Amino acid sequence: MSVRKMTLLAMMMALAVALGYAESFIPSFWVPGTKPGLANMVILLCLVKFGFFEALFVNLGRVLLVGALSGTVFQMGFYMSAAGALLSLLVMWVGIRYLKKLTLYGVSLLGALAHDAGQLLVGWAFLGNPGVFYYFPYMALVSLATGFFVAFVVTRLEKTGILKKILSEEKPNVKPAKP
Amino acid sequence: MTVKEFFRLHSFDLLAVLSVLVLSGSALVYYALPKNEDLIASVFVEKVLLVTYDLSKETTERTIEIEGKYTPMTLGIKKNAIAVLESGCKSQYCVHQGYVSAANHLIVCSYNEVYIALTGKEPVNSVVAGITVL
Repeated sequence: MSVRKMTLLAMMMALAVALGYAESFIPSFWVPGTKPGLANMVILLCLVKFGFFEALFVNLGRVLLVGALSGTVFQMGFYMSAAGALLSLLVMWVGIRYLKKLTLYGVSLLGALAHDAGQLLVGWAFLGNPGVFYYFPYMALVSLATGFFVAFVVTRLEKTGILKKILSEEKPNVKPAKP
Repeated sequence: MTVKEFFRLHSFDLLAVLSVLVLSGSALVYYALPKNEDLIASVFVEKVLLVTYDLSKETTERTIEIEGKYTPMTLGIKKNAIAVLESGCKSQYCVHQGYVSAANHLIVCSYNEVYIALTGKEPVNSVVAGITVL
């Protein structure tokens, strides 16, 4: 792994942590616990630009650091967040790799739905009541909006070509010494 | 981009959106259908049934104190409705949910690992020993 790539991944993780932590101060709208999923923009971008393992690294780091910052590590909310993040990443990766007819909008929507499902599965495991899935239709409708928003931002960022520019190896601006 | 191009590019995205709308909409319509209004609230702490209340028999509004996993919680009970009035959790999602008064609805406090399940005639997990109907 090049230093450039490592630095970029570290920056992406920092951005994902900042967005994830900032999001914890945004009150839920309509359904308890629903959030815009701002950090998912970074994860989707990472998945598109780098690949599954790099996105997994950023995602796991993000979940752990946001949990540590908000003091919820190894509590139910932490496991819900981790399960949602991992399932979402897995589904988005499958979407990008195998469901070629979907654009980033469809992939982002599937990711948002998988995030909800992952959270509710852990809620079911902790509480022992499948009734938590009662929330799923509400969360799915909210996911339409959040999934669209995430995909919109990522598509726009991609169009600017800023990451491509950063990722491209620049030649050193040093002229070789004449013999 | 023309409309035709848009639909060609996003046909599968739109199919996914449509599926979500239809399935979620159907579930919400099902939720909204009138059901048995005589409700029973079952309060669980860490998966264990703590207490059940026959809400149809409540005549006046009252409050009840329960111990969550980490902090005490105050529940409000009135005829066919129940709410979490106070909880020590950070998010306060359970408190903001207010009074809930429909069967199959759930109030969850993930921090305290408490959930309150509202059901029709029969309480959920009725096989759990030690059910107290007040």
